[in-house]
Amino acid sequence: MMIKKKLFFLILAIIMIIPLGSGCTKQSPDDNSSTAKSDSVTITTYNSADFQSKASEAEKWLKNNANTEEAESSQRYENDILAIGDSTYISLCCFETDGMVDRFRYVVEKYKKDEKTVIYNTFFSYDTCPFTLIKDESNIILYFMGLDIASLATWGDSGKIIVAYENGEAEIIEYSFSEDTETEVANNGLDKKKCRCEFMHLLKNNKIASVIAISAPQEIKYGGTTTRLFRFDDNLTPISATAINMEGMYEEKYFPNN
Amino acid sequence: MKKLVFTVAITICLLLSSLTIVAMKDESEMISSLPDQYFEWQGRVITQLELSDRDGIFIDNSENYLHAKALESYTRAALWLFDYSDSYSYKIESKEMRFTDGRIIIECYVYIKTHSMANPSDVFCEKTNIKYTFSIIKTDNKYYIDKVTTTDLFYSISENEIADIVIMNGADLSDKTAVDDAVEQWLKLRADNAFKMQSNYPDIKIPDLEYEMDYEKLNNDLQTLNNVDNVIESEENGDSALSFKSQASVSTAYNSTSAASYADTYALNNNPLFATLTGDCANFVSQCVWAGYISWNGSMSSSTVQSYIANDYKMVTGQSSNNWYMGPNTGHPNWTGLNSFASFLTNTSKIYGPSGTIFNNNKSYTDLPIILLTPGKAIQMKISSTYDHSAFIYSSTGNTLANKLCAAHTSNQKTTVASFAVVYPYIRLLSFNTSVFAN
Repeated sequence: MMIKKKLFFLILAIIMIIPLGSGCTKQSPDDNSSTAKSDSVTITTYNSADFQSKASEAEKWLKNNANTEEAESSQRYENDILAIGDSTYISLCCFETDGMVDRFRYVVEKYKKDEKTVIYNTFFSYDTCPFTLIKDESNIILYFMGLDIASLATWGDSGKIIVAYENGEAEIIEYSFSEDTETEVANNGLDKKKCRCEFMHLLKNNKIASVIAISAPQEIKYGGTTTRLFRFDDNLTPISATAINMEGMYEEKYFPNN
Repeated sequence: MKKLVFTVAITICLLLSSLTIVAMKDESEMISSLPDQYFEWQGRVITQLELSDRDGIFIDNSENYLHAKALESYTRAALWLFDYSDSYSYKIESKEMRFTDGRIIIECYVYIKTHSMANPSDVFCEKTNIKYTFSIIKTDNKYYIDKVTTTDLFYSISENEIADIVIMNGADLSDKTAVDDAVEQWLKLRADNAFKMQSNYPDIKIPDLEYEMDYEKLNNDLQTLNNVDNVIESEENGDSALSFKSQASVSTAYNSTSAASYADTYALNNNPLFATLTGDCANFVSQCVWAGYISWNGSMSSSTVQSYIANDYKMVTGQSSNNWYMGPNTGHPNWTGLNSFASFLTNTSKIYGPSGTIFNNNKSYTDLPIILLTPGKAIQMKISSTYDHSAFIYSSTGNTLANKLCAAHTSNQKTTVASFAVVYPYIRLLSFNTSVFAN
């Protein structure tokens, strides 16, 4: 009975994944039979090299354009930069301590002209969804916070996030990283040069129909590949997901840490 | 004369027949009682040990050499090995016999109770539906247990401990002589512990093992023996009446001393068998709680703990959102996330995993009843809206917050609840109860 149940969910997961795979295939310019749909699906891939170069670029920009002290601070780990129009977004993981308690925060700063605004600021936690959507007056950004993503058994170090829009378009954001990169451990415990899976991705528009994540964990003994369909609160923070993996279909609750 | 001959012949026939029946019944009972002998022999305590005639039982498990050597040695040395801290009793809850490939297979489900040697009413652990499968063969007119398999994790522990000794001796596990030597060392170590324990508690009287032989069941077994064809046919047809589908379910007491000891040991140095996370506080507290459920102690070998982790022992897997586990690489948010852990702890709809109580939720630390802050409990703290740090109480030296010693990651430290209260206005307390696990 249990095997049948698992088989059912496996087939269900495959059925969910096949159309997405088809969408990827239709990206091929040689595939003339799906020209219309090929324009509707965009694939973006982030890997270890991207994360490292984006982190360096963010730190460099901050140093040259905003605050040298912050850029050189060992308490901040800038991880990505997005330049959109006259605005620049910097995402970072921020280390705090009062000598007794260590805390990590994920922060997104927006620089417009000489003005700096913190548009996202949350505690790092293992029971918070590893990504969130951040919306300001002009843009909507998917922010992936993967500091310890490989340690979460049902997430792992690679996966895809699929964003479907109300107009029928979709984006597939693929991420993968390797922890093999040479590391330099800073005094605060953050691995300064360690490759971490953190990035911002500018979404096409804010008319989002659904967001699905497919994760490929390294340890398949714990549920295997997990597919999640997310629900968000009014602030576009993921608050729960319907998850499907080899253990079945279940509700997963997240604890936003503000 | 003819009448007399006829009467004598009939009498002889009846006598032979009854002897045959008695012999068959005796044989059947002997076979059926082998598992009982096996458990009785295991259950002998150090004060009652004596060299006994166990010629009818010989263990040789070619598939699992360490296990076989350990059990064989028990027989030869007539030592049953009680750890220095606990003892156990058992009861066979069900027993079925069948025939496969010329062997008699007896499947038993066993209830095992582990209790304090000093205080037998103090039950550490009760396990029910533990499956034992005995494979029995007949050689030289004797029946032998040639293989025992079980879902009881205890055996993998003994194997791991012996393996540790082999490796410490600089030998290889493929070297059977080295394994034999390690078994002897291990037996001596366990026996020394047992004797030491006995000398500490000279007046201890361990209750006799309690189980009742079910003679009605034995008669049924006899019928089964006499009906081999039907048994085989039933098995070939997948007759569920002869198969066992029970899921083991273990009620496990929380040993706060073990949990506190683990916290004290790994406060400043991470246990390398678990992944260390960037924010490690909830991971560490979960490890301490887990240590309480496995009755961890400082003499537990690294390979034993490693085996527990690899087998998700006293962890929860396969329960979707109600999982609770951690390994050398990854873990579940209910283990690694402090809010998820608190929610999981008090979730009464879950089947397996630690259960407990949260005191002083969303209240100031000044409302905490200090008397409740005892070793083996955890605290969670917050500055404003969300609890974001946790620690584990490993010692108490008095009845103030400054006397409640805590261990915490990250940063790894030993401190006091009073020190945390300086930073965190809100502190809640988590206590842990006897809980149900699948293994």
